[in-house]
Amino acid sequence: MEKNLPLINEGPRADALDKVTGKATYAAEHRVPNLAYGVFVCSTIAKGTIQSIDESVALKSEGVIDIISHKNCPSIPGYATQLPDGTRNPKQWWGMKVLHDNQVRFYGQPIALIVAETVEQANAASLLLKVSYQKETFETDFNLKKVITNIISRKSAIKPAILNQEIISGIGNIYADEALWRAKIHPEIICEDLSTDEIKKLINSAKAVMKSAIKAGGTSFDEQYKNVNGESGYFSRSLSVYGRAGQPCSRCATLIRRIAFANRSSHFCPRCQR
Amino acid sequence: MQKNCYNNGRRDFIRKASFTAALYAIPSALVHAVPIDLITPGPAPKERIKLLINGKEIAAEVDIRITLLDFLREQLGYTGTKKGCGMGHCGACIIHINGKRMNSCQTLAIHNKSNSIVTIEGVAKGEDLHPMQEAFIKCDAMQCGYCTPGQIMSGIACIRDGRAGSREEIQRYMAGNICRCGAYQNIVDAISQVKASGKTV
Repeated sequence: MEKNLPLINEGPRADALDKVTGKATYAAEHRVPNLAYGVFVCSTIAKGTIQSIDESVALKSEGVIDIISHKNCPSIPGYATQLPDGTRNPKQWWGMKVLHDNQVRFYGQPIALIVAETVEQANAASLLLKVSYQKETFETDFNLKKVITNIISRKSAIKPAILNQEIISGIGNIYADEALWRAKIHPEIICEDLSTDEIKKLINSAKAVMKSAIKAGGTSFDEQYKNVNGESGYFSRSLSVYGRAGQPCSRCATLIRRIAFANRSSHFCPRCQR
Repeated sequence: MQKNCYNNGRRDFIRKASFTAALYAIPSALVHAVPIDLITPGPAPKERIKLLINGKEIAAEVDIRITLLDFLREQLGYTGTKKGCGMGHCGACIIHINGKRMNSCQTLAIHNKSNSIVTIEGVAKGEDLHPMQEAFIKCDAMQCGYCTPGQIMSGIACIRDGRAGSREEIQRYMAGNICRCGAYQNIVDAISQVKASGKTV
């Protein structure tokens, strides 16, 4: 076998001198002739619809070149829900679609871009844009009932359902395994077959397991997962199933099993999780 | 020029350009409390300023709304000072104004007439690096290096202000300088080393 190359080179970083003297160049250091500057105008409501944008005054402001909003923004291929032939666009972008439609989804969402010759002119003109909204009531609280109704109507296995960030966000692979173990639910059980109480118990277990993990500073398996002070989290010592394949379950002493599942590994106790 | 800029009744009030300029410099999302009718479009006034940058006298005509940071970077080409957030949160733009550290995105160029400014380009003496720059290299106190100029300027001020007594004190003083790469430990190492060396900063 070939000898591994060392990952750490001796001596300082190659560009360290440039970085400490301010000579290192980043994107903003490249001088582009005739550069225009853009400043976003952001929504002042959290949820609703943009009813109108009046650019007339802002457009007359000194140095303004153009104002781009959902009204005139060129269409971006990845944003389309359908392909030209009417079928579903399989490569559709699911993130935020900037300046795409009149929907406001959060406070401070970019809704127009002022393009001007200098950033000062663009900033000034951004104050002159007149926007009117149709406000809607926003909901930011976690709605347990809604999540349960959503999960119980699914024909997929429970584990991918709780990992699905669109149903409930924040649960990762380790904590999903731990929560399922605490709630005594097999990761491959179909959502439909679970009761409301079981799902409730599962979500509460997820909350509890994450709470204690945060208290312990997280789960550090290697050098990569440390906090900025270089300290490890100690929750890995409190894990009940994750990474414990072949070791006895602390509840019933049955050996923990590991299966490959949806490209991830799942750990569970074959006896107390059904 | 100034006359066309604003509504009639407001002319006198507005002539105290600094206030308007402050309005302009605030990111748009935060200023919706300002009645739009106060401001009508028109050419913005310019002013002549004279100041000292890294010991060199500079005279320039500036847009009254330009921040000191943008003046340095865009107008004069001193790009060593970095623009991070533009809101005084990140510390990438820290420079020394009359010996005090300051977020240069939070002050206007016109407010710095006859001030003496030192940027990252001005701390080395020719080829000889400043002790803080040397320590940053030695301790590898950076990864991408974008926050480094601000960190160094703040680090120098930390020692000058007598706030480098312990690691905890350094951490507290340096809290306004964010490093997205997480090089904090090495940054504190670098500042401690310079402090311990007793070199003049």
